[in-house]
Amino acid sequence: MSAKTSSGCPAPLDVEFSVVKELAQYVVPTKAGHAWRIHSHNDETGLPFDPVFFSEQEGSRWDFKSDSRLPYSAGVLCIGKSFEAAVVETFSKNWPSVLTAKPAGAKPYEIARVLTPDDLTRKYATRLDVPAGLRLFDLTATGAMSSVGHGLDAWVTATKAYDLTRTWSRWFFQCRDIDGLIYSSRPGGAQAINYVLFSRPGLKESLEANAGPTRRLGKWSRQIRRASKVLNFAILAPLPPPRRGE
Amino acid sequence: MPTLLQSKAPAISLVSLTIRDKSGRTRVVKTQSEIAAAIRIFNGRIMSRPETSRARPKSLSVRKWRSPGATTLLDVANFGRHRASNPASDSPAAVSTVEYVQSLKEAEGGAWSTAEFVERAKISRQALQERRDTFAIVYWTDAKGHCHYPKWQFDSDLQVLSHVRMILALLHTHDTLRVLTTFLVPSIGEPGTSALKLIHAGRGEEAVAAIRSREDER
Repeated sequence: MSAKTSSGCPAPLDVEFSVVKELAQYVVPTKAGHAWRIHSHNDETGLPFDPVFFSEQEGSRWDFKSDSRLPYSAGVLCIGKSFEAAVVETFSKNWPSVLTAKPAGAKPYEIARVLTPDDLTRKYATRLDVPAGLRLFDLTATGAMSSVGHGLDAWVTATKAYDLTRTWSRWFFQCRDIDGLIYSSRPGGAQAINYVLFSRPGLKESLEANAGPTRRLGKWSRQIRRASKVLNFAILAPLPPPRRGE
Repeated sequence: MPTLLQSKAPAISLVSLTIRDKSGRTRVVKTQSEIAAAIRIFNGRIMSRPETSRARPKSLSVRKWRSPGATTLLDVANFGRHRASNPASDSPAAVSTVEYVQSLKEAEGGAWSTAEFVERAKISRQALQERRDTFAIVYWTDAKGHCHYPKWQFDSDLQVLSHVRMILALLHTHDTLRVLTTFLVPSIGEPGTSALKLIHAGRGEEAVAAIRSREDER
């Protein structure tokens, strides 16, 4: 078993996923259903970025750069199993990192979750149809992480040491027996189940062919109202524009 | 433009309201239920059906507040709307958005008005407007559209700190609430740390990198 790093997250060892026989029981085939992706506005084109984007940017917990040792071209697509999951995955990084109890003297902005007007107009949401039969390793299943061994535990979905989580993602990615992961967002818990889909032949085309309409986040008003209740965030009204002569 | 949908409000901060009803009579309402009803009725024109039309007020004015920040009719409307759709209040996120926005405005020593800043920095209003237009200064507006400039963004020579400018360029937005939350909300690095704290601690590069990472997300 590998020693834990200072962040608490262990680094994976040089053992292939398929060698660990116990892991197969945690691989769940997807059923055909919906998932949600929240994506950004592209200032250069004035249009939303493509909702089906397998990232290699190393900008999040799971995406890592491609290299020649991988069986497929790298790239991961993170999508929320529910609208709420996609919201929490997208915006929780903007929310206060401590949300347990109100510390004495804390300002509201130190404890509360909000979306600003920009969030509703410069982010978009798209409903995607997840094809049946994708094999996802369920990190939320009891015992799944410990079965991986090497000291893997819930840290992999909680730590902000993304360089380590990306090495885990890469480790899973290399296994031809799975097509992605199921995990819960750090601040969202059980309400925020997400899929990490690995770039696999034909998957991008399938998702693009069956994608629903893309709308600005604020236009999904029924969904955003429900999410605000479930996730307990407020939506701020815009401040007035500067008056003339200011 | 979407407006406030909901939040978790604590105890209402409004103490009394003066309302004028259809017949022109003016009266002061003081109980919490009357205040809440008056606000709901007032807001009925905007979004929700009033519970009763009998005492629908024609106008509504603020008589007294416990919260020094909530002083405008817009605030009343927002507060009422958000309270009306507010099921719970025991969560850490349970703060009034009025209180929330006010805390952003007052953070780290508050802000200078345009007149104050023009006087102190010896620059013209036109130059100041240009800075706002080019995302080179942090500002927010009050209910009347007057601009205010948070003191925390400046060095001792009243120049905007370089890392603040870099983050403003990344954000590239006139959503001043987004700008304020980006700097002030403790969501970067170790728990309790904000971009502003990092900048003030001489770790501005870390703050810029974190914001850039967020902005680069597709």
